[in-house]
Amino acid sequence: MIKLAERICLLGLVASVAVLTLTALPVLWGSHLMGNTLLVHMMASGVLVFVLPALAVLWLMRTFCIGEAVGSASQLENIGFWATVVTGLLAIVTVFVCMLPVASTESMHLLVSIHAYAGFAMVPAVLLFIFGAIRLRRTKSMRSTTPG
Amino acid sequence: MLTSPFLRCFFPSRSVSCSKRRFPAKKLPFVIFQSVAFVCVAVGISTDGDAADSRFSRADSDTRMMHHIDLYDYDNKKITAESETPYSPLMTCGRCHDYETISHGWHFNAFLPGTNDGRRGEPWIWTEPRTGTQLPLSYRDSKGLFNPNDLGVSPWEMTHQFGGRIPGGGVAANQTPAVGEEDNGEEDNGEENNEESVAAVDDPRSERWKLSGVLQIDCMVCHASPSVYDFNARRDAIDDENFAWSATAGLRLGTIDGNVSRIKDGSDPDDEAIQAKLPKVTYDARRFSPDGTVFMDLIRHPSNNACFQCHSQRTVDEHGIESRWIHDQDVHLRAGMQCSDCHRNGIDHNIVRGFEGESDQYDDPSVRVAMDTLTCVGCHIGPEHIGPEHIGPEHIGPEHIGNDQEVELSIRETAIPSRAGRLGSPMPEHAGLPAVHFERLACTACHSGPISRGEAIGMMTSFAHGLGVKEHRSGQELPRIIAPVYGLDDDGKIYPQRAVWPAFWGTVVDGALTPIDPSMIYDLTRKSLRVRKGFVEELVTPQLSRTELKEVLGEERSSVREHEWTDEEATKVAAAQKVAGEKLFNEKVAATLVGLQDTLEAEQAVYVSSGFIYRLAADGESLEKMDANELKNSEAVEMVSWPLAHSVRPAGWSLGVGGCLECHSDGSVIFDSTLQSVGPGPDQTPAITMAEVRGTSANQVLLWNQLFGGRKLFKFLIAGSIGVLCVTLLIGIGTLASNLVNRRNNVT
Repeated sequence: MIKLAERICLLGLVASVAVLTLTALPVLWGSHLMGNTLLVHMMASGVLVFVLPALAVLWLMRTFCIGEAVGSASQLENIGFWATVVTGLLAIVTVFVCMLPVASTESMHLLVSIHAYAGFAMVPAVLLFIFGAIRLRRTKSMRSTTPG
Repeated sequence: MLTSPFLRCFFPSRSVSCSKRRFPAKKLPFVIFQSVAFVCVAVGISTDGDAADSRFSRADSDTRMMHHIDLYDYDNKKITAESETPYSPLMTCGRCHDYETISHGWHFNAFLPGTNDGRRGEPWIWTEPRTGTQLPLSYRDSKGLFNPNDLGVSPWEMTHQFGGRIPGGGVAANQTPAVGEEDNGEEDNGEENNEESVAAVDDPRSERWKLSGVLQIDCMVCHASPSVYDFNARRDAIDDENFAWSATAGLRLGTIDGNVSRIKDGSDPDDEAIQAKLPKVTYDARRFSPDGTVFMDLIRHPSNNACFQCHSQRTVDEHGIESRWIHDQDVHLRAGMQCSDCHRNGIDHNIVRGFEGESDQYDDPSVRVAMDTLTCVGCHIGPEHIGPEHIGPEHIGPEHIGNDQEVELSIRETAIPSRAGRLGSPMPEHAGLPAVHFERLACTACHSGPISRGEAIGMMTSFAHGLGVKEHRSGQELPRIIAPVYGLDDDGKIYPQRAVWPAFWGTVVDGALTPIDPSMIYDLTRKSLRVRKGFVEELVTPQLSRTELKEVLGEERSSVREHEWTDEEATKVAAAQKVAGEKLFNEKVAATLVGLQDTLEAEQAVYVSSGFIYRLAADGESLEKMDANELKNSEAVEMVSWPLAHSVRPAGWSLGVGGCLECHSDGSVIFDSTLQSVGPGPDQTPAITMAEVRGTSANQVLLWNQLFGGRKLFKFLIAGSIGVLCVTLLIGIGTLASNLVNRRNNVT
């Protein structure tokens, strides 16, 4: 059950990060996020803020309660996971502060810049996490199918 | 007898009288050359403002210059208390001030060749209440506006119609560009203009210049001390066709006897009998000092009072003109500022209009910086588009040289003259307002204009409605202008705008609609329309007769006064008026169109109002509406709008202060407030939302509104998400720390 939930969350994470990255690409060329692009970006962010903490809880449960971590594949997944959490947290916090009536325009520009860097940094982090997770599954499945 | 000799130098019929010398007409070019040479040499041409090289001396002090000066008439003769000729601002003020350079300023240069048309502003709306005409005109090139020259409206007629709101010069001084020279970009000079002026007198009404004189730039219109200049006296003089006498009338230097308007068209200005009929000035001897000078009570920076003469506005609701006391005026003025604190100018009189991008037309970096910091953004936040001139010299790098940079500068990196805070302006925080709003909205969208009440309301302006003149106004007078209309401007941002729908009589030839010269339309339609005062009051909403009232209200109630009617009765009467009006409108307008087609031998005559085009139906007796798509120039009947900037409201009265949902929810002012076409005609287009005006789909607006509807919940979700992630991170850090400690213990 936990595995299924984790897989659904993982799928949600990959999909949301993909959409968020694609919609944010124009920023790299100096454009501003607005209109329908911003609308889709905001919708995808709703998925992210839900699946990322859910995934974190499930991952913690699997790692600490069930103790499934194995070998170097686990190391790769570990690094990917924590990098995803850190960059994701940074991306979410910066946009959250922007939503509160506290940041001035200048501060908001800074926050949005950090948000963009953190968001783009999340892409390799998620890739690492996925790659590690897949490798871990393969390792486990090889061990379970190897006789003796 | 010197009446308007300066004019006669330029407009000879058989001979020219100029300073007691008479020139035959064939010597006209020489006269022109001489006169222009006088203007250029005696007045001087200086465009670079270099005081040292200029023949114009300057005080260069902040103190007010006392002007005890001699007055000169149009013939450059000194005026004494016994003189009978009006004083000439050109000959008087132009002795010490660079009239030629000044004459290229914004207030005077609309028609000059090579002039930048600038951002669209309020057009001149030719209004003729008896014919239901409200026609937006401009010599500047702007979508939907008609060029008076194209319609056959002569400069003289424009001056007579709008001179009361023109400070003089330019078209009012009969400086008309030759056909085809409007856009040649060549530097203008007085000689060309004046030659062209002479060439432009083939219009019979233009012959009136010889009698009325011209409206030279009247410096005192703007530079007189408050309460010194009598604008209404000036307007009256212009109404009386006493153009050349208007400056004298405005300063009340004496009394003026005689009206040029009483002199018939075609009268010979050289005829002594006609000259005797021209106005004469009786100067107030008390205004002259013993040395013959006159004290001109003037100020360097025009007062708000002078600006208000042409730039006032009033809002109109369903009850009429709104009371002044419920409005706060512009927040800057309430803070003690003057219009001219932001709307400044040099000797060129290119007054800073204060919109973003205005400085692009200037090459001088210091001018660009000065102008950029006089816009809303520049003054309160800092220049929007950063150029090398805005960066402090110690921070400028090779990457900053060239085109404008889309870079963020810290306050330390910004050159001091480019920094925000000019005149102590506060820097707004806009706390919590996503920066995307600055890309999509002009400052004025949230901060300026009348507060919307769900639909655009009526507006009256000085230009269009002659505010400042003592009259009985109901607020329903033509032209019907509405505001705020939240439309897009050329830069793609949303601006609050004023809007008007053209209403005019026109002809359609080969699918192209052209308005009929509005100065002729009353004479052309008088017999068929038979309107005495107002097209709307007499044709569209006619008063019901006693018999009709009895039918609607019954015998007993038909005799009570209008203000005693119940709401139900008023509605019934209005409905009956509408029915009667439609019948009358159809009947009279159809008859008029028949008359116009016959008189003008036009293929098709039409009447345009509120976006509708009325033409004769196939039966030749009734009206039908024509589809605008049948026209090649359908924009001729569409809404004409122009951005408004004032009055600026305080921060607390801005849109969005109440949070995101103030704009991103159903019924918001900026998306869902509505507008409906208005005009003298009986029909109105269906109300459309501001989002539709901008071409935004209703579904998109709905989607955004729904997204923002759940924003509060989303904030809690994000907060929860952050909490969980923080706990996760703490656990991770704790685990890492624990592993490190364990590893260390194992090692030891």
